[in-house]
Amino acid sequence: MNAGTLTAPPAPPAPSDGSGTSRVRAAATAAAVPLLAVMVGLAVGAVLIVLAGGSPLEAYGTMLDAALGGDTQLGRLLTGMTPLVLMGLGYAVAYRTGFVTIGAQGHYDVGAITATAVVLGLPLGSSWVAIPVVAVTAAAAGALVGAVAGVLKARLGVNEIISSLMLNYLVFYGLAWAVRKPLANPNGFTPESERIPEWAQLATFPGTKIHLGVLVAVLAVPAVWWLMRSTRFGFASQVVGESPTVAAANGIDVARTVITASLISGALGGIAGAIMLLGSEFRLSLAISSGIGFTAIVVALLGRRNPFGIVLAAALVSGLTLGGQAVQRTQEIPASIGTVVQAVMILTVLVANRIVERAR
Amino acid sequence: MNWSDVLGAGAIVPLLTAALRLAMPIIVAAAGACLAERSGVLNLGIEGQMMMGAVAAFITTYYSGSPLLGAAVGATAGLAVAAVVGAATITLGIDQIITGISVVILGTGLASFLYLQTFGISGTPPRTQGTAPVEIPVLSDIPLLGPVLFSQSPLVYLSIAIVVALWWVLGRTAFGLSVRASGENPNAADSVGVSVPGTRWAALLVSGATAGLAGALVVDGLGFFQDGITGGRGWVALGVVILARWNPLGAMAGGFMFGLVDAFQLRVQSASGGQATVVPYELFQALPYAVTLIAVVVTTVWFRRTNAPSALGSPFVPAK
Repeated sequence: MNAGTLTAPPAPPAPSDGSGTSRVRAAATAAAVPLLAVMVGLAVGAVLIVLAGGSPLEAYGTMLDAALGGDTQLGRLLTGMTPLVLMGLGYAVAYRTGFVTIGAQGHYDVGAITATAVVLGLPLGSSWVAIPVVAVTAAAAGALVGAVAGVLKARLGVNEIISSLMLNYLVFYGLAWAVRKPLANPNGFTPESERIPEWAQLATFPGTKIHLGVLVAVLAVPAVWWLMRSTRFGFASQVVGESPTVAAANGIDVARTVITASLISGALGGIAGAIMLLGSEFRLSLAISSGIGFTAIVVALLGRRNPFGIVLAAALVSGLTLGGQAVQRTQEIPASIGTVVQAVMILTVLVANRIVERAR
Repeated sequence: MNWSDVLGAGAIVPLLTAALRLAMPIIVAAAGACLAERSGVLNLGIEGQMMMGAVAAFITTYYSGSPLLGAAVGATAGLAVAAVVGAATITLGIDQIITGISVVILGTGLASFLYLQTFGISGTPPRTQGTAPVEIPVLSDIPLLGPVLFSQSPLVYLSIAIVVALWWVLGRTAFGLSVRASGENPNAADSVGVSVPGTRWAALLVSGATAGLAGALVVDGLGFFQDGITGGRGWVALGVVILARWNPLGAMAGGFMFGLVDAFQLRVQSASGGQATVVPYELFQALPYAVTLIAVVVTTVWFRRTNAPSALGSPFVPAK
């Protein structure tokens, strides 16, 4: 274990003898475990729904309808998935180097603040100019916040769980100040920014409410997969994650790898925040900072930190969130059931994987 | 704004009194976490245990009118959540960090559910009466120290007693020796007959109970519950463990620093009376978190050789 940190390196991938049967069995496990997790999660959810005086069938019906019931719902699901996918990927990239950041919320918030400041403050006047400028500045702002924890860990050995969490709070109070003072809407009753102008809003696919930000997530998934699989950095981060000592002995610059990973995860979070602001929220307010960073960690863990797994997990989690809200609206059942179900699902995945591992 | 309201001679005693009250949840949770970490278990789920402790204590206090009963139920709720961590990390040997993060999400969601379940989704938020300060005769007459230390709520006295007891248990008892051995060298501990899983379980459950008590202290001070009411204090407590160099008494100092900054920023806010100040008040609100971050960085750099238990974070697999 690395001196000065509390972070154990991620477990190495399960050994495989390469034979056909074990691969089939591994694939079966990979499919069965998440399915089991979904079932256990929904079962616990059903118990809570009954406790809340509702009917599980009706509640789950409402949830399913809220997530997949039509074009509008599907659009909401896709736009809701977008930031979760981006930040889940960021978590996975960082985790691979053994850097367990929980700073996604801070990256996201700072991205949203930057996007608002840029489109309200600069006379860009057209989305052709605004989108690239926002993308670069929001990514840079997120990367900067991410790199603080990265540099502190890589250079000084400071525990990144604590540092990234404290940074989240610092960014949050920065947001609180921004919406009260420099970016405040003079006509608003609560602290919020003015609505961003039409030209700065992300275009939507014709006939839908699905904005172009979804494409960013669609492109980021294979990009991160490629980054992990086929680049020098991807290889280095795996070795660093398994053992910094072995990595250093083989000439890999451990600090540089960790800092690069922290920059990437921060940038992805910053972009996620900017997309939500320009595509869905249109206005900066404290509500932006509503724990989405933690939800993204749920997504990364449920997706087993695999880029494509993250997409599936984001769909599930985003559906649960939308469904939870719908159930709260229509049946007065607390939306937090969705959160509990998510946590139960991850714990089930962890336990099931462990049991499978032991049985080998 | 009148700065003498915040820092003048007459303001020192109220400031320190408030600081201790605000520090107590962090101190007691950090002291419990010291015990768990010294046994080798990283209880990263403290924030979730605190939330469950807070909601359980609030509901109990609201219906029974007894904050002490509330604190007991709160501590039990924290302990129950810690049992989930124990089953996953000690019994099954699952990654402690991922388990901890999951448990924070679980505790936060469940606390929110229980609150809405009890009090409904709409309507005016219910309030409870916090414990009244109890002045300890003679001692409370000591200048400065008296009013700060000996005219506090009974829950604060209880928490201080628990912290001192944890320090004593860890350093002076046979169980404490087992805890330290399980965290430093579990194989050696096992070979001399210490039950490493049993010791870790006990230490972790204590940590869960102190985290639950910490949540109870938070709602006792505020008199209401809402989502996110612990405001990251569980995470701050984990930072304080590092500052404290894994010593429960050190947690007093580290936690008090957070409480002092927190009391200071609250006072600045109330002294400014909501008026615009030259320095934005958000800066003061952020101060406790900034100070925690800086203190953790300084401690990490200052003590080059970490004091962290060697086996912290790694599951114990007994040799067959």
